Amino acid sequence: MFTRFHLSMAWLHTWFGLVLGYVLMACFFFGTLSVFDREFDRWALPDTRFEPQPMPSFDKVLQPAFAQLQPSPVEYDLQMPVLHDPALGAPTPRLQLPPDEYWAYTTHRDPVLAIGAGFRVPLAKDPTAENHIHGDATLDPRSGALVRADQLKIGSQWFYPMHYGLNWHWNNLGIYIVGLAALGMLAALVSGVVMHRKVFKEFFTFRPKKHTQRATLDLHNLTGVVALPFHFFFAFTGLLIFAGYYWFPVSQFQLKALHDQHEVVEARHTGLPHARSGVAAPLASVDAMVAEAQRRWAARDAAGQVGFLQLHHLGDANGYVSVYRAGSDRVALVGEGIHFKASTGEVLREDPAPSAVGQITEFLTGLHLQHFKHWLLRWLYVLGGLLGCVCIATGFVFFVEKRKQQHAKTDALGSRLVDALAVTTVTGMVLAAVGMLVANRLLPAELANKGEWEKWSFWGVWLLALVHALARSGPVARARINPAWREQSWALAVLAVAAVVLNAVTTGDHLLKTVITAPYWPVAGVDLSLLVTAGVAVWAARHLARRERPATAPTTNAHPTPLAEVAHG
Amino acid sequence: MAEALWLITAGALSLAGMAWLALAMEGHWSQVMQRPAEAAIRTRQALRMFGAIALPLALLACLQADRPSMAVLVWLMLLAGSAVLVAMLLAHRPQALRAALPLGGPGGPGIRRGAS
Amino acid sequence: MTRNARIATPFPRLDIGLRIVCATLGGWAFSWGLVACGTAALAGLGLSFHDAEAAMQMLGLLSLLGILLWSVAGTSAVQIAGWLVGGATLLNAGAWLLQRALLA
Repeated sequence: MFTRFHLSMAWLHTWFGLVLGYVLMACFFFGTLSVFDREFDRWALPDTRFEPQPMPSFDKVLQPAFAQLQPSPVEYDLQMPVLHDPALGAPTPRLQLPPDEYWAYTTHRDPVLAIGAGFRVPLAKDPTAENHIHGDATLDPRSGALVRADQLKIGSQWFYPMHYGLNWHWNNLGIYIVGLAALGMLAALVSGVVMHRKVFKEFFTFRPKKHTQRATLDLHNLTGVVALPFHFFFAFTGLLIFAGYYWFPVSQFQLKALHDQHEVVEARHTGLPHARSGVAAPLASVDAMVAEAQRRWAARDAAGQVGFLQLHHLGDANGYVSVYRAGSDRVALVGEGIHFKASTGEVLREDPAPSAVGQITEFLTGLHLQHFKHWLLRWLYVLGGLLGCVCIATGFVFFVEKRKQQHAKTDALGSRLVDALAVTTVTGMVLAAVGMLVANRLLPAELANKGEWEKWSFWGVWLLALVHALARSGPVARARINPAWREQSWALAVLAVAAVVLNAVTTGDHLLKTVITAPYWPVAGVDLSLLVTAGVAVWAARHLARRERPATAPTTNAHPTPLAEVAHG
Repeated sequence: MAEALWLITAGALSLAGMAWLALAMEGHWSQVMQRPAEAAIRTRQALRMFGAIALPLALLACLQADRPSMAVLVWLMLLAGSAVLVAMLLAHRPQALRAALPLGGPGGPGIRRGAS
Repeated sequence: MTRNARIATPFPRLDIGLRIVCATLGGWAFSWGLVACGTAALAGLGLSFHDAEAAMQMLGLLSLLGILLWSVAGTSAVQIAGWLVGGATLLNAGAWLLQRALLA
């Protein structure tokens, strides 16, 4: 297609970057917010604003809570026709599905913990398959009470899934689109390095006083190169996490037979039964098992908290309990699993150290999923994420600026559209996130389906931002700046401050309290970050106002031969 | 507490190293020192060497604070943050980077005052 | 980027279109086959199935990336498509045959 490799890389970088960049902005921005997802949850759900708790007692707290879980009605309607064999009898009613599996999960940042159950379909088409219909809940470990189900955890249930799936669940299309974007990111990084010949010479170069194209390209190169390992590894590990299920599900397709055989062999080898026996058996004290697990970890010089608790084949003689250690002090997630026979409490197996491949995979997925306790590294991750956002945003700005003069003469619509979409994905996206927080404080706490209302507010604000950006994009056709950038920056400043004020007014947790008198850093951190965001937005708005003024503004092509100067490389 | 001190040390080494590597470059030297780069070749070579040593030393400091798997991540991100900080200083307050030079060194500010 | 840096092709839009299909769907089919075949081969060589699968997933992602770059930079879009279709077929067939052999 092109005479030289570096030209084809430039084409790839520009066009794949432009098209997939809009999706990547969402991934990087919401990924950045996800570093502190549980802190956003605390902000959005004031009832959960207490200190993180260790895994509570199963016998006293968890077991009664599990007994209250029910299979999800939505999943029941979807899965019963798939799993149930009508020839064996009528479909088992939802509330009569027997529970087969319980799990509970907590990290060092969780006041409330996530619990769930897998209910089995007794008359199943394929009795050897798992056949689970799930029910989940959130538990307050201090009281054993379940948290209201229709309250949305804005961090872990909205921002976090937004970054890997755009919260678009139809046939998991969102996940596939993000996957394609992540692949595009890797390609953009490689092609970017190929194009940027002065990678070392211009490592520290940023010339903000030069005209827009040069300054923007400098910033794009700087933010891309300086955090190159971060950008590459986050895109790669993100893809790796979903690889076995979405991109290369060989275990479910070509190699299902090999995979299933391996499961049976492994069950025999580990002594952990693969299926139910059909013989009923009681459950011994799980608390005793947990205590034994903690004793064994301490004996191995790896004392720790329980991160994940799982009960398999409930009520069956083949039942076993798995206790995993929370990996707060390392990159790998949970580990050192110890498995107990459910009916007697004897140790069936202590997981050995993972294989070399296992260790590599644990490290790679762990560095992305971040369950470690290291506040500096978390904030450094936020820095990396923001650098990625700036890289992508400056990419858009550079694209538009470079073609502005040309497009002013020929194709005004293309330039206007790209610019309006850029406004929507940069300022518009932040507006949607902050707007959702504001809605969370404005909507009454007792409102039924409050979570759904908050989601609508999010999409509504984002849509408004798009409409506004399109409506105001006229000047782009005349090679000027779209005033929507400045106007949305002001709106963001106002909304961010409003969110902080509303939090203080509606919950009483104002900054003086959360920082000084009764410190609670999850909420203080979100409030302070909102104020910093407002500050940056005001600075940006004023900076843009200066650039927009015709007398003093540097035009986008102040030099007679600008293209030569900003040729890539 | 010890962990925090080691991390602060790592941060300082990382920042110093990036600043020295930047100053060792011709364009940035003249930008910060307001003097020609050709006149300070020895100093810049020394700066490049110190910079090249400071960065791995920062990794060693990180390794004192955390397990190796986390230490490597902290180090890479500290390098990124330091590089961005140095770039922003060069862009907006280049003179601030004079603080990265040892006082009274061969390229020190005091010696040349008044010279044309 | 100047116009005359492009190699003349009879149908430029089709050429770009084919390359994009190769870069995405073609790369996916080929890499999926690579992961399946490689996993079966490694499992046959003694690695645990999970380890074999995990190792191949990583290589599969790198393969996706490599094919994307090749699809854009390579000289002939038709040749690239040929290699990808042929390769994907061979690899997927290979995986199926290997599995049969291993389970026999």
